[in-house]
Amino acid sequence: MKSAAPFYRKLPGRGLSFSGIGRMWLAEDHLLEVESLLISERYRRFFLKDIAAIVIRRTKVRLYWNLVHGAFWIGGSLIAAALWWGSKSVSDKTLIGVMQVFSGLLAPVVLIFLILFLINTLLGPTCRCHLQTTSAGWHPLAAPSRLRKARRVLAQLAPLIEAAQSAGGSGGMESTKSLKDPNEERPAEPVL
Amino acid sequence: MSVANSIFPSSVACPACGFALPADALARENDSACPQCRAALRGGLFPVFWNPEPLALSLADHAGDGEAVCFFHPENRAALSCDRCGRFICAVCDMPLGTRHLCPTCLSSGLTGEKLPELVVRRFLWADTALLVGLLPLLVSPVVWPGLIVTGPAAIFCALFGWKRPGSLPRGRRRWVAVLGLVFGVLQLAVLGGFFLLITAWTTTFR
Repeated sequence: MKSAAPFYRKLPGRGLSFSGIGRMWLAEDHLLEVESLLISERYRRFFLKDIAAIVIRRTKVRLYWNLVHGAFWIGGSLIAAALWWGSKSVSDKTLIGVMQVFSGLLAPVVLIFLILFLINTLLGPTCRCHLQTTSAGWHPLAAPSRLRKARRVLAQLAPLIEAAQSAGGSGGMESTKSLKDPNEERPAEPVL
Repeated sequence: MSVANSIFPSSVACPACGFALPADALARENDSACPQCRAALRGGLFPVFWNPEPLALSLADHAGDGEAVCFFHPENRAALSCDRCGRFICAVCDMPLGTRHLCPTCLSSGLTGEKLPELVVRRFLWADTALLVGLLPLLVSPVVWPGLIVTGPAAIFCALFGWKRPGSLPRGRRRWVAVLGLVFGVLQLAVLGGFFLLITAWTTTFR
């Protein structure tokens, strides 16, 4: 007898790490962390009734990426501009051609870094989400990695977690009730 | 629970440095800074943080006359039934899996045969592999055309072999991806066949 796979709902945001692209999915009773490496996926489950805390920690990853993208963008632009203006001051036609070709080749690279810089800036500040369970302590989540999305996820998850925890361990208790409780049916001790 | 939390029950450990923060320092609406590492934190604490469930002692009661007994321990009173096979089990045999309660047999069969989606920890995606191998020569370069001898059949193999295999757990079995991989694999072989026909025709013409 095979169990039916639970229905999963995608939560906003994703994260990128050495272990792959991270995403969070929400099922009826648990949160699924998926780390994907194109051809394989790794899963980790957090049951809603076990989640004790979720903490979002603001990080400086956006700043570091902006520095990298900005350095390549500004550096590339300066080199491309220098080559272009420099080609006007030399008389050798071959050298002019070489300088202009290099300048032309650098332009799309510079443009790519400018686009990356803008995307990274517009996506907003970065963060790291941590989740604490009753048994396993802190676990850094693979996603979401942007603060705005993380706040949305927290707002979405908090009522569900609270509902799951206020409901208590439903499965076991309900199924226990269906069985005969010997204490209920045992006749009272006769009073002498 | 973390070390900080076990020392100060109403505190939460900073995930960055482990410093024991007072639990009321965390809020869902605004950021607060860790006094030690100055990390900006925001979050939520849930009821189970304040009232952790005590570790269940797996002590089974002895069954009396006329009481339901455990399938595996006939001397023990049944505490609940397995959510998969329906057998009565005692507290010793109860294997909680999320909200479900399983018997040891169902749990072990689920571990070996990937029959329980809750126990799957890794999946190989055959359809995605087929598409990747099918697209690889296009992505890399047409210069590596001898590679088509390998990548074309590999894409077809992955698409067909993984046709009935389970796909991604949250996204399901995406057959359209396998079909695309199959199409690209066949296309690669067609290109390779055409190329060999062209060479044969060229050599016979100029002989």
